[in-house]
Amino acid sequence: MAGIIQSLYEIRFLDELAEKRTVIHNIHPLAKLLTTMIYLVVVVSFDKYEISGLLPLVFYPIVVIALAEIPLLPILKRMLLVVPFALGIGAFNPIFDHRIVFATDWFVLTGGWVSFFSIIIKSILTVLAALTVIATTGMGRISSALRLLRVPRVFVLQLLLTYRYISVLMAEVARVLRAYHMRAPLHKGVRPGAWGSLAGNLLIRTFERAQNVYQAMVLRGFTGEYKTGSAQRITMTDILYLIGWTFFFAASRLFDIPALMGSLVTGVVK
Amino acid sequence: MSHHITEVKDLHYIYPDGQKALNGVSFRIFHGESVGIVGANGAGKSTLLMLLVGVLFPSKGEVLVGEMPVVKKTLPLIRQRVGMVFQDPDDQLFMNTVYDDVAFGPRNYNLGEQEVEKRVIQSIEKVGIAHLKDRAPYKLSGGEKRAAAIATILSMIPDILAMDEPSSGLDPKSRRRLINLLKSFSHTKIIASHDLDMVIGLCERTIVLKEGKVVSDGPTAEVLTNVELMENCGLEVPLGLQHCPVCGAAKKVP
Repeated sequence: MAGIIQSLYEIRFLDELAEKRTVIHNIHPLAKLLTTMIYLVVVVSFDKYEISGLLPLVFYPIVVIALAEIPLLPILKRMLLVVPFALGIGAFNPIFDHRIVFATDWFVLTGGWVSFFSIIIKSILTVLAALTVIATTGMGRISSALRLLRVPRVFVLQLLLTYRYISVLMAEVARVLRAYHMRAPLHKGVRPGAWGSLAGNLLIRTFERAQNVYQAMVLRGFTGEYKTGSAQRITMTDILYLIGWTFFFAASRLFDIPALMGSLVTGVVK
Repeated sequence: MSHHITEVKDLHYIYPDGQKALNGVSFRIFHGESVGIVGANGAGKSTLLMLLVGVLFPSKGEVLVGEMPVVKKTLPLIRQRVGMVFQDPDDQLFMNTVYDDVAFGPRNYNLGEQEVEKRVIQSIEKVGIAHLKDRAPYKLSGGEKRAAAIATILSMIPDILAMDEPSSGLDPKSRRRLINLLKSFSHTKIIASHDLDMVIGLCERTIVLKEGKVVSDGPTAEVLTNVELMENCGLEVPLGLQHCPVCGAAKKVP
């Protein structure tokens, strides 16, 4: 239970990071959003047996995290939450795919293992990119960027309110669990018999709370458009940021940079 | 100044589950008046406030704010004029900083960012939390949260303040500060509360609700000292007006 209450305090962590002012935070949300989208497409577009080609792309999140002064550990912790899903997706590859891609006398590497690691790397890179764009931009500004891209208002609103209500839901979960454990101090978890009523109660209470929050928003003139203050203008820096990264992603996709560097180094050594 | 009158005519409201919350409520509130709405739990106080700001619509009867009926079409105007402070400030504070929360309303009305800033600063200074401007609202204390919630409403420059239990959950000092703050406002105030001592301090007029009906409407000092009426409505004569618990001396009505 302490875990849930603790994560309640941490849930706004990304929003707090987004309020910082660094080189990356100052880039226009649209530029960051487009860069992230292109990055995601490039990462996912790699062949399922590709590993070395993906490696240069690690560069992007690392540079952004460093420049935006984002603390690494909490971000990695959040990223780990997704790893089990990736493991689940890739788990059967080594079992079914026995095609040998590399072998020595004492070691055999099958295609299954290669594609398994490829999936893990891809998931880590994509999740890291998504987390960094939220941590450097904030959900409100990402939504306004989506609106600039003409994404229908109803979708943007869904995204925004879902994100907003996570904290509402978590607060209710924490309250219900606290009340449960007060009266069942010896139970380690929640007894299966109580699951149904607990979940049902939670749902109704969350609806109610969410409705209150929504009403408070509507009463202050909210009509579905999330206004975050002065609209930032797109500057040359933003365009260069987008073009620069796009160029780098394209280069990583088209050329096998690690192999090129390898041959360059070995060429020099020869 | 008829355009500042808030009028409720034969208001009925039935919840979807069939529960009758209001049963023919009528009253008029004039410009600058401070009115306390009191009554036992479930008397219909919160429902009444929700009807005043158009979160709910009456099953029968009507609400007029400055001669404007509260209907779907007039809601944007009504909500600019009537500011509602919720019972739980956590429902009202949802942005990342106090500043953004107070700016939320003005921004929705498409004011220029300079005007927004002016209003935000004015509002947070008025409620005395200017130093908390960049703090996250969910990390504030109960009293600070309440002040922030009030500031989010003040920034919309409403004519009328509707408040649901504004003193609930506050420590005595924060409560006193809130009362003094509300006293300093020249807005029309409609305050639903169980804190009868606060109602005495703030409202010259009190409306008592019982089972969705107005059972008394008059000067606060008269209404709240009527022992029979109070007991009948599940209330009590305010502590401040009861005999001294130590020496038994009677208190004087202000």
